[in-house]
Amino acid sequence: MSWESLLKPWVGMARGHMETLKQMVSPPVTRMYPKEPAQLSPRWRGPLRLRGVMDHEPPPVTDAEPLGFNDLMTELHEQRRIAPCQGGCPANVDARGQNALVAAGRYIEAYNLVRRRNVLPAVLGYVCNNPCEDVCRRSFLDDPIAIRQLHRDCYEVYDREARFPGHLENLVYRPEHVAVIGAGPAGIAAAYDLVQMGYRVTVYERERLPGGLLVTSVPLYRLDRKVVAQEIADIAELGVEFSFGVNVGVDITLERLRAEHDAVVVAAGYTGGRVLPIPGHEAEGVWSAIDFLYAYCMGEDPKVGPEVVVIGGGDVGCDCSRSALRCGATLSMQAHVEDREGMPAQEVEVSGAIEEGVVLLSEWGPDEILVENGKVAGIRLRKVASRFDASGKWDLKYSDEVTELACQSVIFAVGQRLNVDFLKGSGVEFDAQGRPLCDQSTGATALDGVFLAGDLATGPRTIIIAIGQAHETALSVHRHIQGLPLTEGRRPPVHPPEYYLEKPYAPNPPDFEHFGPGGRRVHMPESNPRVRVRTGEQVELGWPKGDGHREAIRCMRCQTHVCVACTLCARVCPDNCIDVAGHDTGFERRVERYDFMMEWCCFCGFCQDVCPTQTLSLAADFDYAERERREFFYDREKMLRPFDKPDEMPNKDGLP
Amino acid sequence: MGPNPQMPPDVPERAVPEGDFRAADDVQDFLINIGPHHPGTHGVMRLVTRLDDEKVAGLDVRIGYMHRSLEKIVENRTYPQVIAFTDRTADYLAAMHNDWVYCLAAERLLGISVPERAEYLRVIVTEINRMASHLISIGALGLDTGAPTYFLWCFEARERLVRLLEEICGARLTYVYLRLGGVIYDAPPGWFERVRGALRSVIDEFPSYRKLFHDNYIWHERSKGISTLTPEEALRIGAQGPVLRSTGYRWDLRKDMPYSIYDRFDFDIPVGTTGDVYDRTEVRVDEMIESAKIIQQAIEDIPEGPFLADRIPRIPTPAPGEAYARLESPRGEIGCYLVSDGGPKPYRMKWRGASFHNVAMLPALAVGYTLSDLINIVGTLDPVMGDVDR
Repeated sequence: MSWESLLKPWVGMARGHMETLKQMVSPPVTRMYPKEPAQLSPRWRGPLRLRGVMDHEPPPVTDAEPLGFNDLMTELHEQRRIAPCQGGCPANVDARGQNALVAAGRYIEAYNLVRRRNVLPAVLGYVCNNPCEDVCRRSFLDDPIAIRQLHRDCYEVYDREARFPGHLENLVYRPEHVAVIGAGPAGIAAAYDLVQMGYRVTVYERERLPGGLLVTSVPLYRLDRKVVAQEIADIAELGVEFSFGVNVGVDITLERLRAEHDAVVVAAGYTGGRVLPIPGHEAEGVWSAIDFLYAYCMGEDPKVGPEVVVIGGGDVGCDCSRSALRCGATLSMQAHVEDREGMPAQEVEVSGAIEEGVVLLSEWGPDEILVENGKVAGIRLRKVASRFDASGKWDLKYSDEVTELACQSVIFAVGQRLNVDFLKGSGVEFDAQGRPLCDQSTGATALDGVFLAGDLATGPRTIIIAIGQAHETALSVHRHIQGLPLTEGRRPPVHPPEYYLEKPYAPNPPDFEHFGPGGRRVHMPESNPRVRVRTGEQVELGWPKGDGHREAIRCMRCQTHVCVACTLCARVCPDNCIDVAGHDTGFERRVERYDFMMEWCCFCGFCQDVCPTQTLSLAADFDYAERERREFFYDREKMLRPFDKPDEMPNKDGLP
Repeated sequence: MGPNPQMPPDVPERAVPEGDFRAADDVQDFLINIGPHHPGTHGVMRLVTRLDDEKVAGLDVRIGYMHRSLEKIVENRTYPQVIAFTDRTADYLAAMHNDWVYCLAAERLLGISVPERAEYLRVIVTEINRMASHLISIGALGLDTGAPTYFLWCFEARERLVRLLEEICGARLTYVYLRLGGVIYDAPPGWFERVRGALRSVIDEFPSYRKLFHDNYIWHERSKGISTLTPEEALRIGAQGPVLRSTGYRWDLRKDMPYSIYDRFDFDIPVGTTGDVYDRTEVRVDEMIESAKIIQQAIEDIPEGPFLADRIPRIPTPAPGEAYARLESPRGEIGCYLVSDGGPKPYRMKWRGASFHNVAMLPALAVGYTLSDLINIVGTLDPVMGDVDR
């Protein structure tokens, strides 16, 4: 027994305690993981669920009186619940509601619904450029809904069965008196809104009949003048006074109008024609488009031709070249600096012109008008070398190549001029180009109590844009008269926000059997192009009875968060785990069956991406365990199951 | 049933003669069957092994236990639907790479151009996925050599990366994130900062990994000098990816045949020297650091703008023709060959999976080393059997 052997256990123990102390002060080797459960990502892909289905519900209608409409649209826009057609329309016409009502056979209600925002439904049913159809979600499947033609179809039923003017909902009568200058679409729209708000309205019109450019410029073959007269007569029956043959600035001054009325709405439009100042432009036989169409439309029978050259590739250019054929021209040529695809005119206009025999001279610009004895004898055209500079800006350059054509008339369709001399010196401000200035969202000018509406406010655009703007101006007039702030709580009209256009197009999917209800778009019959040029009859002939109904039930009734049985999800599914069946009687549309085989789902999310109504989403259920295998078959009721989480997961659009 | 009349009677039906694996009478060789359900084989792969004492004297790889007929399925799906299959039926540990190579081929066939932002987002998510895949690969080596702690550490680090992918696309393994013409979601707010933070936290842990595993004496004994490979031999047996780079041969499609926007980034191609098990692992670790560099640069340069090309037809019908695209996946080169007959569905798709070529190298790499090394060698090849059989 030595000292060492006695000490050894104590040394070992001391070393052990030292080691323990070291462990206590050194950082731990093991990691502590947080005990709370991990948060699921907002984009978590769980089993599918539907937010709602269409089931025995009344047709969706977005309707409000003029004073409340702006608030309604603001609210819907914030919730991102505007149907694409309604948001795509500059006047926010509820096309979905129209289609639903027509599908239910309620044509007259549909007509009145459209008239709430579009005062001349039938007229626009003839001549609108239908921006609503460009954003229609049905075009993801096959063709867009014929919304414009349905306006006209509703009118024909209304005209046949129930000739009565629209009802005045707002029975408030206000003593204030508003003057509207110009009985064009914008003036009538403003007058209609104001008279519904209870004001006295007088419309001053230079011509002897109302309609503005609808009667003076829109060719007869595109618009039946009887329809214009009927629809405006309905407006007049509501209480709008018309004063024809009054040329403001000549017969009556603006100061007097201002003195006699509480507010003045100027909706005079762009009524002057424009002629390019090239050599020979003063010769006899040179027309501006406005003057030529005025003479044609007002029955003055302009003598043109027999060979006519129209300069300009827009809608008005097509109107002129087609009208010239109806005024005695045997050869109508249309020269435009754009190429065929780049023409600003609507495709249907251009193809219609070609069918009727108009010769397109693409990428030719006017150089000189050849004159003999003071009359047009021909025109020299110059080939366009390039239209855009290197940075893509418009920069027209001509080449040396020229050609000479014999013709007896030249019509310039190169834009319109303002004709608002009565505003000069009144206090309204003008910009450098001589256009009156106004607040773009309210239409208010620098002159107190004078508002601009329609083309004067927006520049020369389409009819439906003018009408949409006039609704805004009417609201401004109301606020001005009532002494309310013009812009407070108000949003400019909803133009297509980005979320309408995010779905890619699929023209005529060749691979799938045809989409269920309705079938393909019902095309409106057109007259024979060779015959209609001689007889002057309408191009579009209207649908036979029943075709409008067939077209209206094609509408998918895009509602946010409601399944409309469009079957896109079932088609896009790579595993074929979805089966949808819709039931469409025309009077009622409902989702009959929605079957989802949860076991087959691969959580790719394709269905959620294509869902046009944002109702289908991958729910954020994490643990989808069931007691029995058959529980993985989700039927319609289970797809509509309430969501576990209190705060619902947003889908990719950030919708609530 | 009699003999097949179309087959000449003197040709044996099996390409690999059984005699190779039969124990000879005078030596102590014996046959051992490993798999298909062996935990060390990284999937359902069957190794028919002839052992001489403890050393592997012969090896035959039998595959086909996980065949899911990807190429035939694709012939019955439209072009956009295929993306749901490529990322789970092929190499599911690097699903983004599979989607991307398919998208590259299909976009080439359809003439779709991808917006700039989408290209950057594709690079970021793909490199994150490469890191996640490598972490599984090197972590599983720890499992193979009896170091399960290391496996768990790698999995925990991978979890941080997978969370990022979950945030951007909602899925953790089979991300159907790429679409023809871009990606389906933009990055959520603050995502890039979280990517930076997660990368930093993962890279910062590498020294501790080194302390635990890579500098460990046991691992050095088990890996150094095991299954060495020269560049010439590697090229002869068709090596690619990390296996080829570990021999010192610098070959990476991102550098040598840059696809997408990889020519804009500054990064290195890590290579080894001896091509043994140790080098193959080190190359993967270094590659993760290079991936992090690429992601950092992409986050700095990413432009604003659309992340999905607009007006892509829902059911595209390309003109008749063919397209081939290839890219560098964590396991090597993958390729997609598409043939269109003008219809809405691919007429034919051929998939080149990297794992198939990796397991084909196994006999050349494993013969001469012990049975316990065989498991390590399989681990460094990092095969995903879904990519072998498809």
